Amino acid sequence: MFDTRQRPCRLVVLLGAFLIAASFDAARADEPNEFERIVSEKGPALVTIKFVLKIRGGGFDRERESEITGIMIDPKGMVLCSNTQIGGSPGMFRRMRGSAKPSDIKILVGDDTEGLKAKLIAKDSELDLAWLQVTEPPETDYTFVDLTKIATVGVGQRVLALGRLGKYFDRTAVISEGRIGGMTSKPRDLYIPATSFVGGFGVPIFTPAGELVGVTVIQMPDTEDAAMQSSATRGGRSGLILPAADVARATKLAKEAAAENDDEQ
Amino acid sequence: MASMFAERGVSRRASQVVLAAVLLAVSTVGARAQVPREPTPDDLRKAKQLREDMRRMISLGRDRVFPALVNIEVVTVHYWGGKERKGRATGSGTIISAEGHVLTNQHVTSNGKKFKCTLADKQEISAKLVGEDPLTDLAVLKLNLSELRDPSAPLSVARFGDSSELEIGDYVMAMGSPFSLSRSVTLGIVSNTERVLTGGLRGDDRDMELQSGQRTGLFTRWIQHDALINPGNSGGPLVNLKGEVVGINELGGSAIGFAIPSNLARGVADALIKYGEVPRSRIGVSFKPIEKTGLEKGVLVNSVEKDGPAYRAGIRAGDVIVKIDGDPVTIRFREEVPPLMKRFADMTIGGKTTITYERDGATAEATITTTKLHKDRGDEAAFRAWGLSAMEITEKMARDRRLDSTAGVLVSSIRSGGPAQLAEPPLDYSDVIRTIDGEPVADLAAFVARYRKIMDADDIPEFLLISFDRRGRQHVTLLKPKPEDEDDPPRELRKAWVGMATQPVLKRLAEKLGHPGTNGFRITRVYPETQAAESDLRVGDVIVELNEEAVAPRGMQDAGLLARAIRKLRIDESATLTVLRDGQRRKIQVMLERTRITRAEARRDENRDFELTVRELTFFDRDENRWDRHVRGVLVESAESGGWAGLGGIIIGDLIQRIDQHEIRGLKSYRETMKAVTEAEPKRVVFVVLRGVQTRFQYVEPEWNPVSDDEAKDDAATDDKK
Repeated sequence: MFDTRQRPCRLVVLLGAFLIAASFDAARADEPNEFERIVSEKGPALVTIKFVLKIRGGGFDRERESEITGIMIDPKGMVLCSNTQIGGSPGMFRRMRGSAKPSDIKILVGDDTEGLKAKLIAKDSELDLAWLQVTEPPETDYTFVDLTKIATVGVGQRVLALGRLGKYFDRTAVISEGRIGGMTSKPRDLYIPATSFVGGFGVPIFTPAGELVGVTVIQMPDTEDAAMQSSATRGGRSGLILPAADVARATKLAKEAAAENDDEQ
Repeated sequence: MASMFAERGVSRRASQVVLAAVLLAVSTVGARAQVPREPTPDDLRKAKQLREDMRRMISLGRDRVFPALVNIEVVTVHYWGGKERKGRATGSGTIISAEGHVLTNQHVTSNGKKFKCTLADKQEISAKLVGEDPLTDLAVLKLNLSELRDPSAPLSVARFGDSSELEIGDYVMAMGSPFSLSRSVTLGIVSNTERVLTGGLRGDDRDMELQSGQRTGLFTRWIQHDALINPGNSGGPLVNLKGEVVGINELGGSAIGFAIPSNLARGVADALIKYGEVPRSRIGVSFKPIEKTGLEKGVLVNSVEKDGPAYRAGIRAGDVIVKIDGDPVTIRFREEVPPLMKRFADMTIGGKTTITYERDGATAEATITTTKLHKDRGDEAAFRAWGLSAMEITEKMARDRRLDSTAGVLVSSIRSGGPAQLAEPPLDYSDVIRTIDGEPVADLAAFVARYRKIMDADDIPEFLLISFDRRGRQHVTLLKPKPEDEDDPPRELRKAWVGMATQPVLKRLAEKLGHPGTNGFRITRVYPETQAAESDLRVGDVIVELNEEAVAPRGMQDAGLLARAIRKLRIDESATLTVLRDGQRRKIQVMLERTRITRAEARRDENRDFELTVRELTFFDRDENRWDRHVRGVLVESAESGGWAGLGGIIIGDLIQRIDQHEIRGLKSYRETMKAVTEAEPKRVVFVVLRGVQTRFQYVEPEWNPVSDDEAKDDAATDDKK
């Protein structure tokens, strides 16, 4: 039983809703192309890192085979990934006075299942970054994510995460969409995504135009933070975005460190 | 096993306290009822005589066996997680021959790789395993008499007594090394002479097991006694007051003990010395006493092994055996089963025995040809490079696991992340490996030989084709035998650092420290031999600015804020720290250094021969231990307790500073020295370590020969005790 006097008003609302929906549809119509472009341009730069993590400490030794996602960051086979994922949580090993060492590292590019031999050349636990190098020089240059083509974004801006699924899903590249939900300067400059992304940590985040915004990382309390707090009050968070500028700066240091000879104290 | 009842010690003490209280109360009541009589001279004389007689009898018994008592230390090897794991065990034993044979329990020598015996005169000498008999839990070692101070001096040898003469209430002494406290004697009485421990509480005729899959006590009726025994007493003698060994202590705890009768032990020991094993026959039958079955005579055949000797002769489960070789037999109670089992076991292997049995009211005869009773559990070995341990398949294992033969080896454990687990498909516990690269593997020895051949080859194949049986399915997999070359992991990226430790100063603390409203970081330590130490920074200064930018923590979660801000600066540049000192603000210049290597980054070396892992010394180790930069060495991170280094007394936290005449300055010199030691294969290696504030000399005695056979070349670590 509707009051007929209300009908004109209802029609306006319906018309408005239709127009809004139509505009959203127009926006959505562009998205697949955007997604396809990111996948086709950047997707080949995403690799799978296969390795065995040898863990010592806590009274016993063990080994664990893992696969994680990495980003090819130069044409000659330098790969970037999450340090926590390839080397375990440094905080945990500090507490149990143990250590972990990745071994038998293989980089799987494209649909390769055998992998290229690689070695860990540098790491930065603080930023949760690790760098690997394919040991055999490539016959042709690899597709890579260019760390010089970067963007800074603000809260609310739309970003795209490019991930790679696991072996059960044929390591398919996948885009997930989200927005920047916040920014923090503690413990360091980080973007906080409004939603979590598919594809794990150490994956690149792009603007819809394809510029690198940052890399997803895990942030645990630093040594100094942990030492001053009980374990109950220590915080930590995963899936934050380390800005691309910091990634590029750290990568420069990593290349220098790798070029140095043994840096005994 | 002697620890199984150890927890009862508490309740026993509690009951003693209660008993004492009751006796006190009773005696108090008694005191009120009547005036106590003064002991007469005759009473005193009798009491004195009794005490002297008792002491004489005990000392007689003690002195005849005590000199033959031996404390046994065992380096054990277990196989777990695809690896060999060493450990230590202790037990007791008795010298039973002038040649130096020592009788003990098999669970003392079980998985033993190395044996050391301490004699009653405290001389410590090595021993070798002569033989083990898990079915009776007995074993014999032989002392290396050449190691005695006077090898020509006669050994004290204990004498066996007749355990069948024992009666309930007889005094007995337990001798041994409870909790490794050697040369201990306790006194008690015999509580039972035919205790049977096989079968569970439900009377379900379960076999007693020494370890998984290994039966024991099949032929044993234990002597139960209350002479106190504890862990470490295992294998020690139970002695009567005549000074004769009447039993071998096997199980027990605070208030109860069980010993294997000497009449059984003696025969087993003789066989072990003569043959290295106890030859026994079997007919492949288990029995059930007829109590509660409604039968009047005979013994019920509880089960028959398919295709076993009795089965082939026509015996089936449910038959009632009434005669053995014409002798009527009736087994009414569980206590009567062990002698029956022993009767069959003592028959000539391959001989014939005639069984008269009843089935469905009819009597029939069967002639059974016995076969040899083999051990239940197979030997085991670890194949480190392949990440698995494997076990010989015995007849019993094949039967229990419903395998069609004993061919192949049983995978007993897998190392997580090792080649066997990374094989596609992965190998798993209880798989039976049948072939390697198409060549059949007959048994464990063949598997070990194949492993060595493959791993000793100059060109180790990239993959091995392994075929294995998993619950009746025949799988094949590819195993990658070649270990990867392992590099040291990289260090952390070097960043800027100031050589100091700080704590956050929050609002309330700032007020108490006299600078309200100014949060900052109070310096708690200025590390010596750093740029910070050369600056004007002092402990107690509160840093409030870095390069004119405020550094104000808002909570303990900001403890790392200053360090992080410093890490963003450039190494070798100067930073200005504004500090509060004595209520005044000061600006202090300090040169930024590279972050120092942390413990987590320290490089490590794992030496498999010595089973020793060390790591390089870091700046922070030096600071924590107040070692200046002249203190050099490598820190011990792990030393397996049964490994060479562990046995030599090296422990976690030791700083190895010298090995023999070589100074250890760091990981490089350590690796070079250990390589030289391995090539030289010395009898003794002296490690000079710094432990706390004291230096210590640790003498490590490697056993190069067994290791070169089994382990050094990353080979199978086999059980070479025989």
